[in-house]
Amino acid sequence: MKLDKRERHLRIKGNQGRTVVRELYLREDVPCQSDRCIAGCQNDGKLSTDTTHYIVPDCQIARDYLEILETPEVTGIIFTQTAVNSVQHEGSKRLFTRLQNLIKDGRKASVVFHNEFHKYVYIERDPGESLNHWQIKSTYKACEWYYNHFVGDVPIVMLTNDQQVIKEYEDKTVNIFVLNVKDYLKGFWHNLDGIVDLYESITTALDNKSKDYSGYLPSDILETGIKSGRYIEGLLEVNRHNASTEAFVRQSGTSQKDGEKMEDIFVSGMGSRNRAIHGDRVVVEILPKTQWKGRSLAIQQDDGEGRSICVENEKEASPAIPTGTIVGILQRNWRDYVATFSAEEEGSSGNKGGKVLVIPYDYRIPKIRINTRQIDKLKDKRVVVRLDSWELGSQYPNGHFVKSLGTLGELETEVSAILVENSIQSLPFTENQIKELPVDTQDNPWKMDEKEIKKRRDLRNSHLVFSIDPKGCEDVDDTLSIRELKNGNLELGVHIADVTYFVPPGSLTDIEARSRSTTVYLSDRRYDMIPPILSSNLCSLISGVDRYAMSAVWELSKDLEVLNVWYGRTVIRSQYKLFYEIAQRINEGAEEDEIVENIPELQNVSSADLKTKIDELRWAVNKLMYVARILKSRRASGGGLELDSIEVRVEMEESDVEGLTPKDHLEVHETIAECMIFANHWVAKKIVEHYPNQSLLRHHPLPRQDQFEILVKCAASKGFVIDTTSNKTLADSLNRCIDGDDPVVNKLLRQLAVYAMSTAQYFSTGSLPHDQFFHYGLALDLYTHFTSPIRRYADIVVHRLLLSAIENINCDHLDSNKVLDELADHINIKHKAAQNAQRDSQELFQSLYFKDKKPSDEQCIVNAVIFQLRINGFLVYIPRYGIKGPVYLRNKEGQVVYINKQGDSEWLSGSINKDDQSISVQTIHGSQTYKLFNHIIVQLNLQASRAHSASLRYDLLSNKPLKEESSNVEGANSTIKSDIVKVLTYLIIS
Amino acid sequence: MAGLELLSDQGFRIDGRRPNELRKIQCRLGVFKQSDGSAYIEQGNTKVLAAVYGPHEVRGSRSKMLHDKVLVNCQYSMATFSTGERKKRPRGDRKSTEMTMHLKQTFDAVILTSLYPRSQIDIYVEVLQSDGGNYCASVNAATLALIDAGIPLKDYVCACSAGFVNDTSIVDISYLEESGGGPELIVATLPKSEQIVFLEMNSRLHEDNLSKVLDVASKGCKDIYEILDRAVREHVSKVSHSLATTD
Repeated sequence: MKLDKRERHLRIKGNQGRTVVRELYLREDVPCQSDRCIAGCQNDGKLSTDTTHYIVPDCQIARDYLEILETPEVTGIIFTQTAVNSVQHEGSKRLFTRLQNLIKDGRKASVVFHNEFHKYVYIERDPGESLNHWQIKSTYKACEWYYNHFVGDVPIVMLTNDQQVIKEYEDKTVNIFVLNVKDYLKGFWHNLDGIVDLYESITTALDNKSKDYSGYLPSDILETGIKSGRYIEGLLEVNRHNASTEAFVRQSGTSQKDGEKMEDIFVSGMGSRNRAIHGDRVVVEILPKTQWKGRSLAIQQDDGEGRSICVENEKEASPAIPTGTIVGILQRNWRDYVATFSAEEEGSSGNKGGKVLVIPYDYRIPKIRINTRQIDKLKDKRVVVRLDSWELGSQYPNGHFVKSLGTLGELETEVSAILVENSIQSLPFTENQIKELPVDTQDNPWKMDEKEIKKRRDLRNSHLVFSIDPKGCEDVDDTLSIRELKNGNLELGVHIADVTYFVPPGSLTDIEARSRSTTVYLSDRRYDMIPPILSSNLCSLISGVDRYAMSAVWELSKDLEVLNVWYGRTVIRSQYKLFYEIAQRINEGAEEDEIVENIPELQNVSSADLKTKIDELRWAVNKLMYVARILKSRRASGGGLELDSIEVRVEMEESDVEGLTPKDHLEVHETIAECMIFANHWVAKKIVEHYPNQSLLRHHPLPRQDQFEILVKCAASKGFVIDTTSNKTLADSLNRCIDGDDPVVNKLLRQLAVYAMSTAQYFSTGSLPHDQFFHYGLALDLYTHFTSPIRRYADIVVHRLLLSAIENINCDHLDSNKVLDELADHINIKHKAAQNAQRDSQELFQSLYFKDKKPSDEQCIVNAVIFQLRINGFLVYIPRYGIKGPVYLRNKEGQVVYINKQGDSEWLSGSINKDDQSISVQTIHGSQTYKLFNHIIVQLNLQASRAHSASLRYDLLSNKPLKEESSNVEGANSTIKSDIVKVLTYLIIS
Repeated sequence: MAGLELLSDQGFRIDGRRPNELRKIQCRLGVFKQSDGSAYIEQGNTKVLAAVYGPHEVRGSRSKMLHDKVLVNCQYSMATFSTGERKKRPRGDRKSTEMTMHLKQTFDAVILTSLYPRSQIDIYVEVLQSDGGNYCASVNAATLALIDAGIPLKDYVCACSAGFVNDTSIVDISYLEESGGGPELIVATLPKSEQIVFLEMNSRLHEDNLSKVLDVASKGCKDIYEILDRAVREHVSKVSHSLATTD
């Protein structure tokens, strides 16, 4: 193929006006990337074929109105290379990344057309021609090419906001429309809610946009400063509880790497924060030691409108820590923020149009000034706002209104606020995605493919396969089997739903699943990662039906040593779908009647078979639990950390923060978990062996020693010693911390241990040294996620890796290390977001639960345990609900709380003294002392808040524990649980 | 301004080439009449002249003379106007000296040196315009000049560079791609026997990827060979034609 060589003279900025000559090779075979092509381009067919027209934005639109183009409904956009270059050179790095992500996103079906490499589309810039003119000419030429390429089949819309251009080109070709954005949106998207509003608000924001980065040091100075060590770069993290004064710059780069601790740098006050916002990548200059400050040790109270109250005499602070001031911003990390109009704004109805301050839902974000003409319409709504700029000398950043989520306080509004705050997409699956998938309806039931069955190992008749899950679980992704082989060895099998069979890489479902990365479970609903037809039907390993599976099968010797292991695709039919409680009962020796009653699969079996069937099942369950017990003890004794309380295990593995009701803990939970850990471990081994540089694993780094401080202090107050040198010593010392009189002590210490842990993360094996692969919590050298492909994308990736490893394919077709590394980061972020959303929704429901309760209700007066002391109060743990919160000993007026002789609390003037082990209140009536692990009574008060989520206030009621409760924690749990369930069902119905 | 993107997601490089495409090569043999052999080559915007003198008796100090083979003397220089900023001196700086040594090593290995004991062959290479791949263009030009001079070689020696961007190997990298700081592999091969005469790498590259990049570079050498061979044949037929007509 012949290339045509041209030369292009470029004037490089800041190069004393010198020009450089660059080569340019023009070709004819620049693909159009559409399946509509009839000219035989080498296509990947990425460009949408569903849309009625293609959009070609000009350079200015691509820069300024990218947000409009990002709307999910707008698809089939052709970005010219000219526009992309213009975004790259003139826009910010962030804008360019956004553009790249848009193009990469398969759902947008949008492409880059390399018009400047095309022989017939490239236009040379005439000497003296303005850049803008040339760009417009090039863009129009590209439109023409596309139009002719599809022989006029598809109308092309060129977007520009330049009226002169519209006049010039409007009537040049039929069916190439040159429109401005407003007309386009009105003409084509009039039924799309809010998009015109979005356009308007972006336009107004653009009008008063000024250069944002004045006041910061220029980027080259920053760069050299960072290199020379004068400045430090890192992520800005604002203290949620003291947002206006305290922020920290977390240094990038892991602390383990060079062995030395990377300290956070304290940024005190809004002045030295210099318009940086939580999450930004900033550059900070350390102040001289004399100006270092300490962080406040007091717990901050909040008046519900975002202003924290700081009583003057509480200015006690920790010893001075490195303090700095922000001198520059490397990258803004702005996302969508949920915000609410403040109550005062609501009152002044005279304020129509113009600037309004809104209060973000997130405490860490400052108030945002937006322009809107719809104050009346939006005053009691929660709205989504995006930031545009923060000018020098302005107290607040500027933003624009994006959309409204709904009326304040409604459940749906609050849930969508949680989703937006955690950047979780909650759109339903599109038609195209569903179309890709098999159907299974009454008239047209889904059947297995005979050919496919032949390729797989058939376990349907040879193995007793069953699943154990929580009651009412729909997406069963793991099943188990165990049997004795003829030679007396055991054969353990873990069979996982074969999602990859239905979801080929690069398909729309795959792209969607990848972007969601995980199923999000909220208290009352869930957002699936893959469409329900797969997640709760075709992939779900329900009992009694044939299903495809991915299996790992081990042959274990009599001493349970692994003799060999087989991985591969199988066909299974699960015989029983058990739930945890009944499995536990079977193990404990339940009667036949009870078993039959709880297992529907056994109900129509003739009595002759029943006995053998039950015996079979009982043998399998017992054997399985026996095997798991041994495996677990082996893992623990191999230097393993055994954080065996349910909260800890759940926290570590399923990343589930314990809920309002601490869950019942059965041994069979551990059995299943252990089998899954076992399978994950062996799969990790296999894939690393085959693909040492591009496997997706999960590691859990060593905890930072300084994080253990609180735990050690707490334990010391009870006379226990915690040895944190290794996971083994930590586990052992935790096991020793048992207070005969108080079971909460051990539980609490274990939870504190969990807080000290770093979080487990996915990573690509090519980007970390081998000695960091280990999983600290599970004490395994290799670990990955394999067992839940229905709800985690990482498992899908691992399945694909495992499949290629089995077939021994070389690594070329797999994702490279770089791609995998980016993917791992993405999944980690999404997982974190899902966890946070889950926690937020639990808090939401917790507040709904307490909403109708009077403070004097029995549910609101509960026992609490002190686990951390602060200068003006302490933090307590409430065993009954499994929640933690602050108790203040000093109120806004500076009075302190005192428990009088009748056992009531009253506010008096007095002082507070705190030392390492205790905190005491001194008043004229006498003094009272609170120690760590003291039991007290608190009253829960729900504090509603307009702009933020409602929070609970904890008021000290008595310094003695409630009597009856401590003896009967379990009983209380069950009643509360049913109460919560009632609340939930009530809310869902209403 | 966001950083440059050396390879777009659609697989285009900054100058519009695909990863496996060479820059445009143009060459001519016999550009000078005074020297025994000469050639001019353009690889993209890199332009190199080469002239060969010899074999002749050893000039200068006779102590350099070798008794069993010919002395290959190279000189690499860059014209002061060859780069974006004017160079102070055309040769004698460290870079040029190193390049001279590399050229000498390369051609020591390909010239049938034992045919001319006690004599000397001079290879002068002048870079007129530099836009990445100076060594490669120099080797290719010198090969053509040696052929023009009629000096017996084992084979053509062709050189080509390759880089590695976004997990993709790119062949024949330009100055812009070189200055991106990524790995650069330079290889000179004998295309027929696929022997490597010279191999150099800058910056870091994971060893797993080395073979990929090397393959791409060797493929580039072969492609260059095709072009050089065609030029030589054309030149020879033209010369023989003109000889035939003058007879």
